[in-house]
Amino acid sequence: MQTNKIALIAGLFLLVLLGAGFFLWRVMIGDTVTGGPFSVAPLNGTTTENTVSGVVKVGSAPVGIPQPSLERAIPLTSPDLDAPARLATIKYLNTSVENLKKNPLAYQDWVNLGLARQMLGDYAGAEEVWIFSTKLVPNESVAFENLGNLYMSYLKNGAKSESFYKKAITLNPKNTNNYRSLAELYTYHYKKDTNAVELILKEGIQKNQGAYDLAVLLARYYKEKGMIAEAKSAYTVAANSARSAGKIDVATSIESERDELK
Amino acid sequence: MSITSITSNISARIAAGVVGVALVLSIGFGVAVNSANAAALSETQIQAIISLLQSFGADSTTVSNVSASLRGQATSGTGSTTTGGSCSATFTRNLQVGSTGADVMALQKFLNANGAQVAASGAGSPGSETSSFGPATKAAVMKFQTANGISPVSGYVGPLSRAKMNSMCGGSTTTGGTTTPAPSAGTGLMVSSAAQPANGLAPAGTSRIPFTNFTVTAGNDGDVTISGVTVERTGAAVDSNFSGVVLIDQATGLQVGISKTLNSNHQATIGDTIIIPRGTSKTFTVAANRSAAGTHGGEVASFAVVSVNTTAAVTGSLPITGASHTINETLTVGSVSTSTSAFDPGAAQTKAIGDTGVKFSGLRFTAGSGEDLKLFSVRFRQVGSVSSSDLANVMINANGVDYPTTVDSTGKYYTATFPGGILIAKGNSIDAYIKGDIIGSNAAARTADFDIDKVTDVYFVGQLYGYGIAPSGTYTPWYNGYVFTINAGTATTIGKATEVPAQNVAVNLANQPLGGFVADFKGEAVSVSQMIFNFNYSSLDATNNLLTNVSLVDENGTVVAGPVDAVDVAGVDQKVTFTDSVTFKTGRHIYTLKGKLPSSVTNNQTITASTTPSSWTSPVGQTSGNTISLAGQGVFTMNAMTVKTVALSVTMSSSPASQNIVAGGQGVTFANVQLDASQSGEDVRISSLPIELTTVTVAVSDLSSCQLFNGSTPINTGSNVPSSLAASGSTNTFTFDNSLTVAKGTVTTLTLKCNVSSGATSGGTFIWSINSGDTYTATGVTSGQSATVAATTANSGTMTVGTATLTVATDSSSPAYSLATAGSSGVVLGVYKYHAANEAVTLNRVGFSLGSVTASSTAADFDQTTSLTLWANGVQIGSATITGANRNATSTLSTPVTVPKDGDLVVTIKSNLAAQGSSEASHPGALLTVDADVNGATGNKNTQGTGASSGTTVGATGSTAVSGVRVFKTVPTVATLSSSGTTGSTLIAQSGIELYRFSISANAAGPLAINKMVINIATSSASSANGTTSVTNLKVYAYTDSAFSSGAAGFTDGQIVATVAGLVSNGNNNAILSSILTIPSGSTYYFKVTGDVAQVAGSTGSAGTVTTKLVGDSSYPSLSTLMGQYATGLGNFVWSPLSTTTTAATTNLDWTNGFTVSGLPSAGTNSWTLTK
Repeated sequence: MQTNKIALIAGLFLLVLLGAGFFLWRVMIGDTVTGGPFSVAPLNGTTTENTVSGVVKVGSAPVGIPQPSLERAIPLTSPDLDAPARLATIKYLNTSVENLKKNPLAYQDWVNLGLARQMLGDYAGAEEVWIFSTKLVPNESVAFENLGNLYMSYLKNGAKSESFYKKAITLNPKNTNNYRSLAELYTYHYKKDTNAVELILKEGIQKNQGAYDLAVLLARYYKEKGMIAEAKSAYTVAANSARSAGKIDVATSIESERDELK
Repeated sequence: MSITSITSNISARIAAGVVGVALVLSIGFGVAVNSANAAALSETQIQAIISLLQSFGADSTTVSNVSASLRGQATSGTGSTTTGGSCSATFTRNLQVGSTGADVMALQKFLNANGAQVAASGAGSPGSETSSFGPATKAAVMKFQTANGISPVSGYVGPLSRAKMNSMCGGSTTTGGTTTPAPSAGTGLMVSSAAQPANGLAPAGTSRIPFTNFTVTAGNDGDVTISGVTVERTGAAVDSNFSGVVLIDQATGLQVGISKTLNSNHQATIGDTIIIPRGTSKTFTVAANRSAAGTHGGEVASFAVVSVNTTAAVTGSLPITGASHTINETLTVGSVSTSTSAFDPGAAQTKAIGDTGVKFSGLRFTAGSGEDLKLFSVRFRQVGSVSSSDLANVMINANGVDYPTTVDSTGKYYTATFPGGILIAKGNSIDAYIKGDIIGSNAAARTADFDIDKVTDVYFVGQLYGYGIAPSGTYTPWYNGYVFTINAGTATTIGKATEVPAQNVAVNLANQPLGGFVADFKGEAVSVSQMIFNFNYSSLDATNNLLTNVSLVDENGTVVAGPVDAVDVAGVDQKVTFTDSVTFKTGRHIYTLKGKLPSSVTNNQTITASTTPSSWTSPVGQTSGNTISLAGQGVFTMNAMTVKTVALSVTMSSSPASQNIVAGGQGVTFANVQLDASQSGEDVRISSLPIELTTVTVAVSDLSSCQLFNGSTPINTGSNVPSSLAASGSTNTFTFDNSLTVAKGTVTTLTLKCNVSSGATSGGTFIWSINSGDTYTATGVTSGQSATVAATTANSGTMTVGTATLTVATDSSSPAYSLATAGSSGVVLGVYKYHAANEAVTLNRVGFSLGSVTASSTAADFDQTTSLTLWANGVQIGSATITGANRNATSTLSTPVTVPKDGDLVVTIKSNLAAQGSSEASHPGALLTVDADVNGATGNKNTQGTGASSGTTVGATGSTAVSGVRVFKTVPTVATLSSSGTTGSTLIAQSGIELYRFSISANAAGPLAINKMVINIATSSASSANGTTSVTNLKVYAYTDSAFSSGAAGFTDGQIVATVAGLVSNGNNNAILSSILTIPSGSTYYFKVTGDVAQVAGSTGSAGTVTTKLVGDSSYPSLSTLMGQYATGLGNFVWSPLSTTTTAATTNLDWTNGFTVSGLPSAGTNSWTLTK
């Protein structure tokens, strides 16, 4: 009996200690103890966590990574949008912000917010929320892909673009757009190894059997380099893939391009 | 504070006070006090003294001087101070020819400073004193002896001379200013025992057996010179056990002085003159070399240091005795034999200043059979007359590796050490040689000679017993290298200069190139007083065709010899003799012969110059004054020059080829005319050019502003541009603004460009021609002679008037149809290929339209989201948005791009895919296809450009059909899993066999639902031999973990499909879920397919296979809306992205099939095949 009492007291003490520790931890990570953004019950079950190995965690607050501000000035001009589209995109941005105020762990809304910011010309703002998104769900490729494009097309940072595209490829090797984009990066913006273009296109083809568009790009790369035999071979691969996919007209066009090679 | 520390402090203050007062007396009042004692004080003590001094009221100068003195620094004189005189050393030993060392350098300095100069310049001269006592030093000593009445005048520095010199070094007095204490001989040397070697054996034939270690420490008052150490053999042994005793410097491992034998007192004085700098210590080892094996084995010997020979007072306890070693006559230690290396020059050599990597002297060492050896150091002695500054990069190469050398203060001893030693296995050999570069003009006429003085200058250690091993030999020097005599200037190359190539030359013109040669001298500049050059024509006698005004010109265009006229040589050739003194600088330089050929020399005649440098007169080095040998520089012939008259050929280039041009084209290139002066002897000048124009269907008046361009520069402008062209088939003469010079040996191409009238008839042609019948006029630029012009009749390409076109099509690199996740940016929707014909077109407006195929997007499906960007060659060239109910958009390009004439431009269309959800406007399942829009009225089409030549608007035609992307909120990814954890590929005939495993993932954008799959089963065909394989009771399970342990919620044991009872047919089997399975966002579920396998044996037993896979869909379902309600007919793999609801329901218009789902080809996933 005496032993049980001691065990009970020890258990209560341990609970108090754990509670205090948890309180301190929340204070340390910047969470407010009551009513803070991470204390709100997320919607749509997006905080459902499955801790089994190999399962992507959704809704895990990235420790030590500050949440980007949701209140951010919208640029006065948006280079790629006309007035109606700009207004629509601002509306789209506001929707994302409202969603995030309700559920700050909603990955898709962070991604959407970044997309709206990029379309409106707020590239730094897009960068901020997409980087946060990569911390929020490190196993999801979309934010990485978007950062790769942002750094290549707008922020002009080849090294970062390459890094994010490569990470995106690792996470989602089936998205051929990433290989194409990385080849574009190496060709025009971030010229590295002499065969970096070749290697990334080959990787894309290898991991996406039937990606005739990548094979065409590889063939043109070889053609540009004067590697005629390799170009013809790649064109043939592309034509066969297109034909297998039922794209007879594309296959014919590719073969015509191949046959013009001297 | 303890009593002890108080006492200590008081003591320190008293001591400091005493020292301080003494210093004040010394510095302030000239009382001699040994300042070195004070210099050993601590900073605290120094500060105490300074404070005390200041409390006495000493002036600042005194305080400063005391402070400096206490710290051993120079002081500022306040009165008379006695310092050293014109000597830098006290002469303590006799010196003679062959002596080396610091005192020799001091002697030379003394002599130079006291009216007996060693040399006026170079080695031994003031500032260039050396440490070597040679003939010049001897002569100077004799001069000094004569001047000071020392007899005999022998050049030998003995006691009389030393006494005189030391007395003259007695000191001088300076007043005021800064003085530095003169170097003075130290008065004290302490000798002490050091850590001693252990007792051991002294085997016969070994060397450097360490016996006794001792340390000498010079006092602080000056450097101490030791002239040797006297050692005595002790112990029960005989002296004959040892062939010699040596002294080893422990710091370097090198032997000091030579080996000495023991005298009748069992003593020997070993070592050499050694200077121990003030306040420093040096530790030495007394070592002995064993004689050959005798009969004294077992005797025990020691060596004691009994005295140190120095003028300084020696303190310490002597004798010092170290190890006692037992004489051993039986141990066989290693040995080394020596021979001349293949790298040794083998004979006296003559080298030149500037030669590099000269191998001076080399040996080959071979280890005997006793033990492996390691070579630790080699020391060469340079006994020639070069100074160390005449050599550079002196290295000792041992066993193929270069090791840097250190040269001693005498500049004579070059030592290389080999860290860790170089191993020479028993019976093997290595080569070691010394090499270096010869530099500096002062090295001329000197010699370099590298010897090895003593056997102990090469230091081997046996690797078995650890004893020093020395080669045998008693000669001095032990290895006598060959003498290298150093020449000053040498000619490396004198020969034909390729820089003065064979070329055309003209007659009757001055300064025509006649030949060129290169002269490469090194060491020093060399002058030549006379040079002869011979000239030969290919087939002309020289008699009546002599050259005149022939000069020799250097690479800067400066005439260095001549001009002179050639003279006939026996009627065959001619020669030019330059009697000017020509100085050839060091290095490689180009010289050109130039002169005037008489007009009598015929066209295509060649003339060739030659000379024989070895016959050039009086080559003299400009630094050394030596005569330089050009003996090795024989006759050579220079590049031949070809005599050419002034000539020009005119031809029409085949480029540009026949092609279409456009009416209204500006600056259209019609022809290229080539003016060729490659066969001319001089540059050609031309001022006009006749060209004919022939037209068909069109009129000559359809061309205007015709100009010739030299590169990008028009050469006929203003009134020289023909206002009208001659009738078709007639000649138009283009007169240049300024005459055009075509350099001899070159071709100049003139490009003819004209504007084409916008009214030129389509199909009409223009042809420009060179006609040999026309008159062409050109002259030599220098001679003014008329050129021979050869025109070749030829036409340009036919230029046909056509119409510019611009077409657009889908490029073959446009991506295939795919599913995409909402929220993605920079997604490539399609790639267009624009093609321009007949002229380049600058694309400046691009039109787009949303696709309209079945179940495709409508404008509203994308609402605000269809933001397009256009990219060409990695550059964004424009953007467009399709908003509201619009289906079309145009982009006026921010960066217009040019579609090349008869070429293609590829433009990539990218988009951002907006979010989807209950509050989003973008519609689930929308197919985003954006194709080119070429609609519009002529001249104002949605896609158009401007003709680069004509400036006219060119509307696009053609169409595109991009595959597009279908956008969902989330998309599934299917993967076949490995068979790890199952029966693998083995088929077992029993129930519940795992036939297949796969996974389905939902990305983080949202959950997805699945309600139907199709499992494809293929069993092997039945045969009488193998029997029959069949599968029954197919089941599908879903798990939330990869270990297949947690069944999906809402299903019994994770079984999501009711058992497909009975015999499973080959082919597709519908697996309709018993209820909708929802996979959470960002999660992966794991599935397995099981079945009961049965086999009926055949005649040879049971054998067969079962192949299983998941089947996809070959097309998007045909729906009236973008997505539909759940129905089995939607396809094989029916899923929902839960676009607008949080709960899946079959009635939601939110279902689609597996078409292009990642990892799920329509023909099926990668299958599993189980085999028995």
